[in-house]
Amino acid sequence: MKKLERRNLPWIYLFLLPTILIFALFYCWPIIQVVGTSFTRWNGFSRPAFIGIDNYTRLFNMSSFMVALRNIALWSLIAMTFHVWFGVLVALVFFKQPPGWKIARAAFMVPMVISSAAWAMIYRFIFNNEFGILNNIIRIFNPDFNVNWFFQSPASFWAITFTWLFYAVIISLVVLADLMAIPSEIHEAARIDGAGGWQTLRMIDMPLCRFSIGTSIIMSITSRISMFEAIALTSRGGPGNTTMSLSIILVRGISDRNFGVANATAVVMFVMGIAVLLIINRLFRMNESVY
Amino acid sequence: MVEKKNPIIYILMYIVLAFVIVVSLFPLLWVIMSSFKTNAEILSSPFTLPTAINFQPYLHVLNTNNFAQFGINSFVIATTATFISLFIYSMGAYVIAKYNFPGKSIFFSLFVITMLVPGHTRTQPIFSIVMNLRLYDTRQGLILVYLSGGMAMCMFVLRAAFASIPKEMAEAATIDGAGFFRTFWQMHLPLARSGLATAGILMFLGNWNEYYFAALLTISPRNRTLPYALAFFNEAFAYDYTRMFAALTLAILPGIIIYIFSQEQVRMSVVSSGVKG
Amino acid sequence: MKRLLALILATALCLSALSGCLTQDTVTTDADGAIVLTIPHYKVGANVGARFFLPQVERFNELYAGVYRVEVMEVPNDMYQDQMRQLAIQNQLPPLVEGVPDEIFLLEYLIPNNRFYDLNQWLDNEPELRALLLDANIEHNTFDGKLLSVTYPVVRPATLYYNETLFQPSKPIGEMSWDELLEELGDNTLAFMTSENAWTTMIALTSMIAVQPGGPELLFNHLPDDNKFVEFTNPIFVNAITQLQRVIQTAGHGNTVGAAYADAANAFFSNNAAMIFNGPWMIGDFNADAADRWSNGFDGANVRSNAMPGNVGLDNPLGYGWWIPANTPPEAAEGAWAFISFMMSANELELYMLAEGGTAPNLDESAEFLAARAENALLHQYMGSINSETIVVPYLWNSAPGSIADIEFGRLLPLLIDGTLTPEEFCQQLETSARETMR
Repeated sequence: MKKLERRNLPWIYLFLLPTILIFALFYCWPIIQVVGTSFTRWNGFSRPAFIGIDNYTRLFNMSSFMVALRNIALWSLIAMTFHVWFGVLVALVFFKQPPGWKIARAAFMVPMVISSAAWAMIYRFIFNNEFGILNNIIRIFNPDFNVNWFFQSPASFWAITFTWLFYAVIISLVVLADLMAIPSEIHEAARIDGAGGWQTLRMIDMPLCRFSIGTSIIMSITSRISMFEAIALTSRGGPGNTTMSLSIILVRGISDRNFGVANATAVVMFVMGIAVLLIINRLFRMNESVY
Repeated sequence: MVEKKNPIIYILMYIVLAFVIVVSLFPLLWVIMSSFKTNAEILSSPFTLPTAINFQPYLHVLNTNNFAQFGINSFVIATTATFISLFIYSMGAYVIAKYNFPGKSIFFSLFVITMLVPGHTRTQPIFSIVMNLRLYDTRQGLILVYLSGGMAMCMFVLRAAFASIPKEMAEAATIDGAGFFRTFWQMHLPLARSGLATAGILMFLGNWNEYYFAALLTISPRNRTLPYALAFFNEAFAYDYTRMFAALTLAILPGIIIYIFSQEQVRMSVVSSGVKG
Repeated sequence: MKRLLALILATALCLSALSGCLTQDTVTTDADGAIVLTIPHYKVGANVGARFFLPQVERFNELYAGVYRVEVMEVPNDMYQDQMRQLAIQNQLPPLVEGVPDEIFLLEYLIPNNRFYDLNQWLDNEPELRALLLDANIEHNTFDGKLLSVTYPVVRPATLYYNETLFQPSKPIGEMSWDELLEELGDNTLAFMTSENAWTTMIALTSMIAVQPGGPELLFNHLPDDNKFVEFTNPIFVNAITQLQRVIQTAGHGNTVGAAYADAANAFFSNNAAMIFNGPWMIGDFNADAADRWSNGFDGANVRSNAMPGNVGLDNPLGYGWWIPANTPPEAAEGAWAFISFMMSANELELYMLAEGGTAPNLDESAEFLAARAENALLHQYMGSINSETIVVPYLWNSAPGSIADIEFGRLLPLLIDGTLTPEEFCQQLETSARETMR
């Protein structure tokens, strides 16, 4: 990364300008409104009445709030430890380009073609206890098997997890691009030094890919924070609190036209997103040059 | 790239590839298969192949709709929005990845949290903008709104793509005395093309599937997109699985066909541009 | 790259070009000189309401040929009110709107900003029509002496449908209690749902509230938006939940937990569940032209309907109907009223009731209508069971907070059914949750 270069500053801001314009046009006002009204009592149309941090204390005292945080933390942990590394593993396999890898790459993209609403509906069918394909496969081996995946605890947590666990194509492609960019001289030098495949991977490939892996972790955690359709169209946060998430609490607030509480929930989501961004940026030293 | 390898590693690699293919394709294949079964067959026997290939549900969906027109609308809107926003966001992501400047972290954080802005707060401002520009019920209005759609994802993918370009490689390609824009346009952009392709495909698919704003901002059939048209088959009191799966298949298949086709196109253009990565 | 640049420039040019949009500031006329009223509506496509609504529009256009013509533009059901809300804020509404997006929007926005024509100006000149309309609804729709909207003056209670090939009750179900019904059912099952918002289950629950002393009042008193029902630990509600738990545990169809509407309906349409709780909008699904969706020997001709146990029916009398936005030019508003008046005319009301069920309390039904209704066994039995003794109450989802109706009830229901929660605990959790997001 280049040092701060004063003569480039006008160009830098000029390059940023279109993005800033789109941000200003489509996101700036919504964000201001969300943050501002989170400190008010507001039904969406009347004048918002300032009530300080009442909405936040209310939110933190909710029985489902802590469960939602715990679920998001657990999902994020699974994303960091399994989802992202599955994506990296696939990227490594793609990088070796075994015959047929292009077919796998194309297939991996297919779930992205399906909208998240349709995806949730498909999984509701696959996990259906009666005629879902999963349980019917299991019943070949164990005829008494009966699990209503999305609607009993704790199965529903894992059913929701499964709807995204293996679908890591963005991660694979981002990491693959990073792997391809590693100059071949580096690999060459490593081989001459006698490094084995595993050593090259651990000492060279992974550190050089830390930027894309860090990005993948940030992306997958923010996706867990904002995950909505997969829950709302299947278990609705239930049964009980098993799959409760902040997005469900937010929609509850909207349903009751309590935009103060709904928007306070959104602010908590913003704060979590920015915290993840800063922590992972620091942890993966993403502000420093890779090369 | 293929080197002599331990056969065990090869077997493991193929296990991973096979798993990727199965886990990605089986939901889709299952949907397509179900669309050819009757309601009763879906309910009673999930494994059996359809007893007869019956295109009736498809004809039912296709006959009641002008699908070609909607497909073209979806394609034009999604493609135009994708190209414009790819250009805009690649400039933004480029300076964030390659330069230090005051406000960088703030801008990046703001662009990223757009992913977490709840939809309900965006509806009214967007409707208002589109109305005031007199773009209600036009394809241009939707294109404008779709520019904003993939902001966070583009920032992630493109920033990573530009950051992965080694300085030496870019410098080697640098023409002496090239200006800021030319450095970006002729050196970095071609080197980041795989990231651009990834971001472009994802953004296209996001636009292609978008339903809420399409249904909010357009109304006449000549501006209708595919997901909007299919919403008429998913009404609240529907209980006909066969037709539901047929509509779902019709929503998914064109996207996959376009994806496979564009994948080929992207690769071709990469080859023809002749820049080695 | 140059081509890319050209493409961007071309699109930018397109973007800047102004294009026409749906404004109703000017009156458009067709080739015959008829004033065209373009109205977006959701009763189109696969929507159950389309079967009656679209032919009705055609009848109107025929009757008023050369004067007015209504053109329907398709909007998906779930988007209609969102579109109307946004168009209202822009003061660009079409000349006819059905219903209001929500009560808060009506009270905080439409009324203060005077966004509607007072329908009294026409209704006062049509005493015949006024005599047909229901007073309670007119009163509910009147704000500062101005009439916002009119609805069909038809009571169409949601009740139950049962399959006579599986279950032959010894007497009309409306005359039974839930206990008697459970006893008579034997091995037959009832279709319920817990997914989506569990609304067929909520229909059964509402009727269990309504049969208790004080139950109907509970449902009626909490209709206003600022007074939604949150006291779920109220004994009336706890009793109803206890009843519901027992009914589902003893007679609920095997797929109940996790069932969406499609699953519940399919259990019924495949001769598996003997009964389903639903509204008269379902009647069309039993017509022979829907036979391709039935399975396992099911025949719609064998379906009967009756009042709910305890002689209960569900209908919200205080709804909002058709209204004319203030931004409509006067000539178009005249046409819009002509359409409303046409829909509410005696003849159209009878056609409507034959298609979708219901009774019009203020209408002297014609002999032809009664004869036609008698030919349809399902309608005949359904309407015959609704009498002056029937307790008609609004749906629980009209009286409960949105979050309970949309999310929380369905979220907790599986735990009630599998016995993890006792009825008391279930009600306690609902109440806690309702208070958490109360304004």
